[in-house]
Amino acid sequence: MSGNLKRICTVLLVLLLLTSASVFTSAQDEVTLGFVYGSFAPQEKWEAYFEGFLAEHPEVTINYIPVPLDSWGDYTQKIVTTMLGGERVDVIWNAIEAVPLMAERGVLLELDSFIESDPDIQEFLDDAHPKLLEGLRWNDQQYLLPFAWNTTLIYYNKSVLESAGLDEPAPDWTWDDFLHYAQTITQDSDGDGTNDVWGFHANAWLWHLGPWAVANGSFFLNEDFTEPWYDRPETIEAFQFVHDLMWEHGVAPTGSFNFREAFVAGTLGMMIDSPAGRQRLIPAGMSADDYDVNFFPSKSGQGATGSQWGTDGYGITKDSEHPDLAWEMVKHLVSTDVMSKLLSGEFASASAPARTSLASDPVLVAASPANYWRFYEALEGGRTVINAPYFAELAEIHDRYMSQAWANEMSIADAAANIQADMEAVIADNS
Amino acid sequence: MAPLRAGLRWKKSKPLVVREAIAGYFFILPTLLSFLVFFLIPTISGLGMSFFDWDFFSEPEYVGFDNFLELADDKLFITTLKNTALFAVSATALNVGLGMFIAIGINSIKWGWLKAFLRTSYFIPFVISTVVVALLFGFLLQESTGVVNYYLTRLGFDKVPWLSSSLWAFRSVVLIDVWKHVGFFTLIFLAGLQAIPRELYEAALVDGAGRLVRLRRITIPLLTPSLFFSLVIALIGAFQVFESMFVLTNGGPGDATRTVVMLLYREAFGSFNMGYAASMAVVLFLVILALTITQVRLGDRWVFYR
Repeated sequence: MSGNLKRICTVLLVLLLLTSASVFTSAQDEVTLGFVYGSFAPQEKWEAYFEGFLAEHPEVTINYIPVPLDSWGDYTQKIVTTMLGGERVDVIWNAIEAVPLMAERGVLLELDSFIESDPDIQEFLDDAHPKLLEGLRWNDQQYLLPFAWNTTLIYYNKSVLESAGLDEPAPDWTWDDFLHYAQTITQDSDGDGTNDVWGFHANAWLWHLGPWAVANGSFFLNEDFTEPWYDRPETIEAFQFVHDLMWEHGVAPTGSFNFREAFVAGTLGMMIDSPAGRQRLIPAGMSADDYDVNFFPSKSGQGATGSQWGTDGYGITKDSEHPDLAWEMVKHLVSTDVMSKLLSGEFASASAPARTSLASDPVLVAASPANYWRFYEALEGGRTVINAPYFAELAEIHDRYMSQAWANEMSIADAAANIQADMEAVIADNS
Repeated sequence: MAPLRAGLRWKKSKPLVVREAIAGYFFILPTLLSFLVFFLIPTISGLGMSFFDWDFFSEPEYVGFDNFLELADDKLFITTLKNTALFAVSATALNVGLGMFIAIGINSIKWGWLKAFLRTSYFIPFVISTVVVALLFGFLLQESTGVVNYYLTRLGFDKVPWLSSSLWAFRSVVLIDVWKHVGFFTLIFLAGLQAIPRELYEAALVDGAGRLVRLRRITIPLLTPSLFFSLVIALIGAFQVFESMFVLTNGGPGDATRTVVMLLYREAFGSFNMGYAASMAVVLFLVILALTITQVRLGDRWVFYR
């Protein structure tokens, strides 16, 4: 073999080795991360969220795992079942209600060690609303990073109020003011004995009933959810006031009622809804100028602004084989770039973004009613939704007795007493 | 080619009976496998699970009959068992009774096109998903703005709290179940009616038997096999009711429409008490088994097979 041929062969051999080494290396580095999300959102939404992350980490492939979301307890159970079934899950999207359960059962990895060793996350921690970050902690450890949040306020249809000759309500309105508004709005215009326009819609859901108690200085349970407060006079009288709107004053319909449709149609003057409620009004043809939001009224107009709030976020599973990459994924999901997608574009959602810097985003402001800032006030002075490991049991006890009170088959006082006793038993069993 | 030839030789060497049996087993293999995987193994697993305390997350702990003893003292379980039994009796009686009545009515219609139209019409609700039916009736039966109450008030009646009062909510779920399933039982009875030989009616006519006598002496006795089948199927199905109540009332108001399967679902997938939920399933299985055996035993006394 001539010297030239030898050299050529050597070069070719080296090139071949280098190529195979690089192929081998890239094959080795390929990583699949399992991501769990509520199946009501299309996969395309998450693909749009992950665009930047995948560009930065071309070695990553995401395994999208949609899980049906009926209730948070049910959703959490399905995630656990999915994982027990052998599906590799690295990052989870879930809500505040599920944090205690998932943390206590060892499904989630605590995020504090990542936070302490990664200075890049400080920018998010400084920007995220502190109540949301706090809400996603359990036993002094952070389990999810917040993404979007919701709370409830009283929505009022401006044209319905105008037709009834009412001015927009004051932020420190009282129960008497509220009742006056509801009575004035409620109309049986054709005199057939059936109201054509209702003042308000009241239901017994935890999400809708809680703020009435908060505005009256109480709630369902104490701060750490170890003591039911259904025996407190403030709780009982708040629920009694709402109940009376239906059964005493006849200004709210009884039984099931499509309140959002009625609100859009102008046959309901006031309803309870969250920031996400805006997104449902827009397709129905309502603009931000057609309605506004107000705080829950209080008994004596003490100007209580707090409501009940909840948030969702992202966390890492204990089973993750790539926790560092999963952490990068979580960081990406709470970045300003991704969170801005909540505000506009194909996959916009009206849930409020966790970053405070986005609260005054022009897109958000333009799509919101004038008093949109009241949602932030409501969050500031509000209570979190019930988030305890035995959340599902407590919610069911509330529903069991309150549904009977709402059907006027049991008094509010009796329902509250039964709920108090049953919740105390559940808490004692779990302590 | 050698293995094929060997196979053919092997095939030919077996007697016809054996070859037919092997072929038969191959035919039933898919059903047998699905029965094993989706029924027998889960049933045995569920039975085993009922003796454990298991929450999905930690290791199961053997607790013997504790779950069953706890069930005996569980007031909510007793309530749901009563609700389920009441629903099963009401829905079975109405489904089977109305199904037979409608089938006899349709069968007596002379015009073939009308008979075919009615037969199809009654069957349509049966093929609609239960969840869709529940959602549909949820809208129709709304108290304040529902279509049904709208027309009732137009006719001068008061609004009915179809889904918001305990009494009416229970009646509503029974009625919706009947609306959905009566077509199926009508079809069973129609098939039974068409199997009754015409000669029997002709002979009865010759003997001067009237319409009622023919119904009492020929139609109903010869429909007893269909009646027996319908009662067994209806009762088993009614004891397993879940979707319609879950969607329509979620068990409320209070626990007025909560059934055993709903409670079982909540215990298993809401409270993660898998063992306790499995013990409920075992009790429900035993109740259904006991009722079915009783029906079969009693059936010997009143079912008339030609």
